[in-house]
Amino acid sequence: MNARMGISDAEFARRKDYLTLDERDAALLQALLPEAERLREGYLDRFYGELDRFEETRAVLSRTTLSHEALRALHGDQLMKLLSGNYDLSYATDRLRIGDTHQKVGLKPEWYVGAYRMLLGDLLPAAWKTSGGDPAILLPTIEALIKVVLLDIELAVSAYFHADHEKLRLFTKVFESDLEAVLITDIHASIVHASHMTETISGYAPKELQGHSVATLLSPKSPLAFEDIWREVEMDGDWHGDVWHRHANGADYLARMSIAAVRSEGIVTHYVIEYSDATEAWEAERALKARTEELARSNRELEQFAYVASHDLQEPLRMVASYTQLLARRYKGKLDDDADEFINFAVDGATRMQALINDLLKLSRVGTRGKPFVPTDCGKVLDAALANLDIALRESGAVVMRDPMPVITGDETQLIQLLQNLIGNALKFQRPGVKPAIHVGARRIGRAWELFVRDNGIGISPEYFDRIFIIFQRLHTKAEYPGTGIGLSLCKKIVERHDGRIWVESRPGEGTSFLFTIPDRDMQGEGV
Amino acid sequence: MDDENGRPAEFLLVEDNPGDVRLTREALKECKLRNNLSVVGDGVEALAFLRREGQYANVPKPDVILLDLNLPRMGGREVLAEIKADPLLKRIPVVVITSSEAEQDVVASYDLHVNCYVNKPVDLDQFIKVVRSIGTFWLTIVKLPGEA
Repeated sequence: MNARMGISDAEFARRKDYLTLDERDAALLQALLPEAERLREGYLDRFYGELDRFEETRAVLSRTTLSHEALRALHGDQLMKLLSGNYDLSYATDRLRIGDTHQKVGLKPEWYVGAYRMLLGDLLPAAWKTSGGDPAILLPTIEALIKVVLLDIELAVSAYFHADHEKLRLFTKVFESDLEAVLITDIHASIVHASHMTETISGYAPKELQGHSVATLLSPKSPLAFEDIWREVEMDGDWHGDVWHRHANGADYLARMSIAAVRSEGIVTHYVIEYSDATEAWEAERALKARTEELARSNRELEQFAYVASHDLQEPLRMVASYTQLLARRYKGKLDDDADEFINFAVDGATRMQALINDLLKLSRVGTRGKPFVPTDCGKVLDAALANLDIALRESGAVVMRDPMPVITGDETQLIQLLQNLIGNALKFQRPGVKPAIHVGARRIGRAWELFVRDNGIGISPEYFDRIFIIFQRLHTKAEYPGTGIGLSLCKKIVERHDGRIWVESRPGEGTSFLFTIPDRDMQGEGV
Repeated sequence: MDDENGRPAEFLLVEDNPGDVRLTREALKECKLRNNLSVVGDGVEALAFLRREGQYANVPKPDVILLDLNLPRMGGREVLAEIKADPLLKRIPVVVITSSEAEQDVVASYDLHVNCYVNKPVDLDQFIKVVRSIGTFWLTIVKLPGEA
């Protein structure tokens, strides 16, 4: 601390020299110690009695964090240290710390000089006693006492004002910050003081603003009337909000304002108004909102397009598929081998395209034909998914283990489709000769449910973990495992419509777990 | 019913897609049932046929009507409403057979007293099976009025 306050050995030596406090004084003061020791407790009693006499000192005492005993011991030690004779740098540091502490707890110098008056009242008789009435000893002792008391007061007071100045410097720095404009007004919104940033933001010099109402900063186009704002300020003591201001050059800008009352003994004396130019943030927000809306609209259109396209494609495709099948039925084996092969390819192509269009239709329905979210029993969802897969389950001889399932908020039809797709995948991607074992379960994670479908199938390499959720991405030939490459992107879309997340954990040759979360939601205005 | 008294079952198909007309014809061919299929291409023609107006003066009264919903001029729903509001026609079973899976079409059709609503299966075998079932069900299992 002494370094911060600029007190060095040399400086302290000089201060002592101003008082001519020297070794002889130290010896005289030390001689008072035995008598002072005797006086100590009586002095402390009267000292605390005195502190109790004034409201302000009582208040300071009640603010200290030390216990009464600890404080009393501290004051006793301070007293004895005064007579210790060791007036070195550590003594100075100790005294400076006292002043610093007093400033922090709000104990003003004029209150604590009283303590020295009391101390002298006790120590002068002690000096008389110790000197045996010899003026040649008594007078230098009194002089030494006065010197050391003056030193103490000088150190404590200078520390007090240093700390006070520090605080003020800090406040000034805040007031003149480069981040926000700060205005101080009287209780009628008339500007008393404006910080330098006010000029940067408003275009008016602080001097120009003095004496004018804050209302003059507002744009005439502001939908909020200043009188209404000020009425709220007077009622609530503070106000926060965005208000359109007009720059000196005539341009409007959006000021993000905070107004707070400054009180003195409970009565509002001033207001502090901080504001910054939020126009850019506001414009960015607005642009972002417009872009988000535009994106949502084009997404909706795209979904609608996909739905209509796949729906309308179904009709002609049904014709192609039906008639190639009819051709196969009627003419297979009756034409030549080439014809049979051509017919087979045509039938196969049409059938695959049908599956593709069907899946595309399902995919576009997630966004366009979804039902509102309602509390849904996942146990029933799982029952339905398993019932839909009944034939496949029986053919594969799969064993399904199921944990108790929660009730979640969602679209039942889509959740059935989701579980059905995942379990269907588990049945499809099995290792030859291994009986499928599927485990479906759920667990609570924060404010969401995490569900999983685990299998003992062929597994997936980590490098494909992301790819499998992309539409039309397939990892196997159609001959190995048939499919459209839409199933998992459908799952992803369903989970994402529920604001959840889906991912995969797997080890090739051991099995795969698909996990997804469905977050809780409050039921107001949810779902489309 | 009809095999025994020598009259083939009479179907009226209201369908504008020649491909579907032919498919239905082929499917009915595979039916064990002796039948006769009449076809009209839109709703206006369907009502003229049923009321034996103009060129349809001598057509037979159908035993079952197979009705598509998407038709030119007058849609399937309106045809259905007309039939079910006509005392002379309302007892003829109407089977809506359509590619629309929309819930509102299903509900609207039953609200208009359709006798049953069937989706056109995309697969040929399924399609044949469905048409055959319709024939078998409405013409050999169901007891309809006025046959005694």
